[in-house]
Amino acid sequence: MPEFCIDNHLVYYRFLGRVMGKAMFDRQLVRGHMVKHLYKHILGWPIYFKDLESIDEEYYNNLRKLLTMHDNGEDISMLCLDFTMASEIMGTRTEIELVPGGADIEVTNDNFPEYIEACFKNKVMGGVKSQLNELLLGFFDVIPEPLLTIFDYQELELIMCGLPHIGLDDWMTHTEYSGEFEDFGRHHPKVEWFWETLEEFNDEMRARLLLFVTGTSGVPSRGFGVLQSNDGNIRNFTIHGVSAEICFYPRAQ
Amino acid sequence: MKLFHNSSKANGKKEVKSRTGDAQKSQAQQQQQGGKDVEEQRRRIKTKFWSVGSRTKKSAAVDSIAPRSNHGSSASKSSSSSAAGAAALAVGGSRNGANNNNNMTVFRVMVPDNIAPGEEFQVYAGSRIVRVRCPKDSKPGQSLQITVPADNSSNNNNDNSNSSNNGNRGGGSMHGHFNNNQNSSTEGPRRLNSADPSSSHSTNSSLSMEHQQQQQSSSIPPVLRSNHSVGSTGSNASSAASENSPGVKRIPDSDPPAYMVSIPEGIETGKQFPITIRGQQLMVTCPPDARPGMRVRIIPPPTITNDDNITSSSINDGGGGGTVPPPTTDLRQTVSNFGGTSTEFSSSQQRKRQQQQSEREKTQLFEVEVPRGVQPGSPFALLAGGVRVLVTCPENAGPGQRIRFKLPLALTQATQQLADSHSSNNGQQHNEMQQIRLKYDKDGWTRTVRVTDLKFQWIRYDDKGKLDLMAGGRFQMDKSAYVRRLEFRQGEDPRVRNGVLSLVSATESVVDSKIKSANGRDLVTYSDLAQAQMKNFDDKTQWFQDTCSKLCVEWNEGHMRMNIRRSHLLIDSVDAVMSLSRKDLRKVWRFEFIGEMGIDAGGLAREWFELVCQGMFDPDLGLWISSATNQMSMTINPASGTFTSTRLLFKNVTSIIFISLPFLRTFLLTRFLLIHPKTPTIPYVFHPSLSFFCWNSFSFNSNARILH
Repeated sequence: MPEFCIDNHLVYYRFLGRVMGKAMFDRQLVRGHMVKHLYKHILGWPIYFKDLESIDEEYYNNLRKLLTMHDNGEDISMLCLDFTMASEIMGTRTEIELVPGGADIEVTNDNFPEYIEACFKNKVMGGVKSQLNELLLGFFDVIPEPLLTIFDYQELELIMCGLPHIGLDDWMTHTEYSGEFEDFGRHHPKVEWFWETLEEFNDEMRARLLLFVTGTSGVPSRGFGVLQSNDGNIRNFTIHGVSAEICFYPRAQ
Repeated sequence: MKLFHNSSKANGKKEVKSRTGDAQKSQAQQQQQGGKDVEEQRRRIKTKFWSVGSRTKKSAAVDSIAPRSNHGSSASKSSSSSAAGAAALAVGGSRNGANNNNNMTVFRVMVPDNIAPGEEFQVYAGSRIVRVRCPKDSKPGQSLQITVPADNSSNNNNDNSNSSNNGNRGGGSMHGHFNNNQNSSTEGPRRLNSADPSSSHSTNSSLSMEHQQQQQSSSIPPVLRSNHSVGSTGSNASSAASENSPGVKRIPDSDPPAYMVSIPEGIETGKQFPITIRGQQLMVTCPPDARPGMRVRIIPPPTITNDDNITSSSINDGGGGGTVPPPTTDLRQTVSNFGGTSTEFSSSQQRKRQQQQSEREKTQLFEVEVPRGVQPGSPFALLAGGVRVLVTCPENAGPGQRIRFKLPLALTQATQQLADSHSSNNGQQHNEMQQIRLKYDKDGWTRTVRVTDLKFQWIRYDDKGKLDLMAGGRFQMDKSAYVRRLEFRQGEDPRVRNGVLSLVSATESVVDSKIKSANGRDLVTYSDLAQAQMKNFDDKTQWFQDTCSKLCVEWNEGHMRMNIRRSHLLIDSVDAVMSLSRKDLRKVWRFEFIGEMGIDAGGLAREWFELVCQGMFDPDLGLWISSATNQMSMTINPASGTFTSTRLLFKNVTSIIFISLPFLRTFLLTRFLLIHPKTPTIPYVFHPSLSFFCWNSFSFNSNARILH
């Protein structure tokens, strides 16, 4: 993409940024949940390595394997990696250089931290840098940047997308129980405690819980019955009893 | 048929000028006029005092004046409750000879930016608002002389002299006075300088062509008739310390020293007049029961001592050491890449209250001993006045040495109040509590105010609460963090601001901590932000929305009418929104769907936002895709560029007509011209229709995706 002219598609991101900023400014809602790291980008918050998991889980696991290998003292250069990354756009595989001239730089034990850093940065921002640039610029056309420092990213999402009214009935109806709770289900004392607590929560707390569990505070418009899991299948909210711990479905086990 | 128009004509054509642009303009004008030595001196003193937001004062009072609205009401009062606009500056009377009548005073006024010749605008003249008509041969930025009758505030005539300031400087020793912050008035109830400590300040008022963005009237009062006042105040403020103006008599044996002052002719209740006491010029407000010729008793504030030149008396000479330096020093380094550890400690501080106001905020001086283990150039964190700040150890100081720095008083006062509001035993404990609350995140990263420029910066504390400086170094899986950095640049189109995005180590990212309102004053400081951040979600949201309301452009100044066709919702909206300037974005938007009845009382706006967001996030459009890990969240589609923009154009069109190409071209051309009569002259590339139009039209048939 030529740098000197603004491509058409970037206009739309700038437009959307302005709309989002204006929505916050005018107390309107934006009906679109974005991924967590985008909210962090708006706020200018630090993004950690472990956030990569929510961006691209497979990639994250691969990198972690590399890191363990490195920590165990193995020689990374045996893998014959260089500072490029394979990416797939519209079906075609291309190689992206992580740093200028990356195709010629071999990954060794010495520059391994830099390699991980370059991979991480590329995943977090690389592919969508120009679009994100426009989005942020549009947003800050309306709202001054310092004003956002008071929020954390969860609050930002709540403000932008609205506090959903999370009806407990719908939630309760569509919850499955597994593990220790399978037999008793709803009537297990611990489960009852859970729902009791949840009843005392206000909308914000419920939204935060939902955010924690599912990654977004939005409830599907058709209700909890069609809550989706990672792979797109419908997977209901599951309370899994494991020796007094509750594990949620994306992390089953 | 226009898609939108700015309903305030006066604003419609003007570009939004950046604030620095205004500042530069008025600065340039000052320089043009030349200054006396006194002026130069004062200017130099001013730059030595670093203060928060010191540049604000110069901005022209443009935005705060409501332009004459379209609805023809000529008596438009100033829309904002605060500054009504430019302050008119009094001109030395005798030199001009314009002071003929007994009751006339002469002022100098700068024409605000959005006023065309022949239009009226308002200024503060003394304590009154007067309307001034911009003469035919004047333009914005030029100065006018006006003559104001002293006892009524009706429309006045102007001396249409666009004289520059030069000639009038002679009698203008009036201008160059220091105005002490406190109004040294008597029990007079009407203090024209507002009561908050952020009232007028010395250094700026010295430059006579500046606009005073004060709360109330200017700090520069009308000059009285030439006879006595010029004589008395004709002395420069830099005159001998023992000089008093005539009519001022010291009351013997009074402690604190008090003076009897006689009220000059022509001063009524509530008006201000200047006096000089010991070489120091003060404003006195005439109390309600006083008349000219009567004497009133005043107690002036303590005089300025040299002691308070804090910046110059710092330990280190190289530009201010630990004190907050002028921008030339090297203390504004980022935190990263420093060796050595540093410990955080609640310092033993000495406070020194400053007599002289620098800027609108009082500042407090803190003196601190550099802790052990901190090397020159290393930062260390400490609690100052209850707020965690980051101080960089200056190059020529070391552990055990004492350094000083200034913080705005507002901050420390605010946090003290917050501390007091909790049930308290030990003040120290609550500082600890606040410490914890200032953190956003348990991962150890927190935003801290950097003392050098009072911006926020991320720093990391490790588990023991020590400042972790290594976090900015090489990548570490559990410690490293990165923050996006957006550097703003001006684009070619003045309506649009550009920027460069990058991802940097978290310790290198900095964000401003201060927000200015449209008229250049501080709206929000970092102390406000710190406090707001600590509130719970509901209160925080409320505060945020209140602040946005303050930033919102007043209705009188204009609002935007957005006319959108429902059938072409997205493309019309993109056109409309992208052609707005930044100021337009903060105006009230009123929506109308073309062809539909209905007044927007909020409902149409809500509908518009909903439809637009729905449309933009639609995966079919290709801009956003569902996140791989979470089907409910959207992320930016890296491949968004491979789609063409025609999809927006045709999104709601039910079918593509098989029209011959030339006809289609003409058809679109005419549609184009009808809707956007002005666009051919606007060269910006944002306009999707325009850019589409610039394409080779042969391409659109093959690339267009028809979306029903």
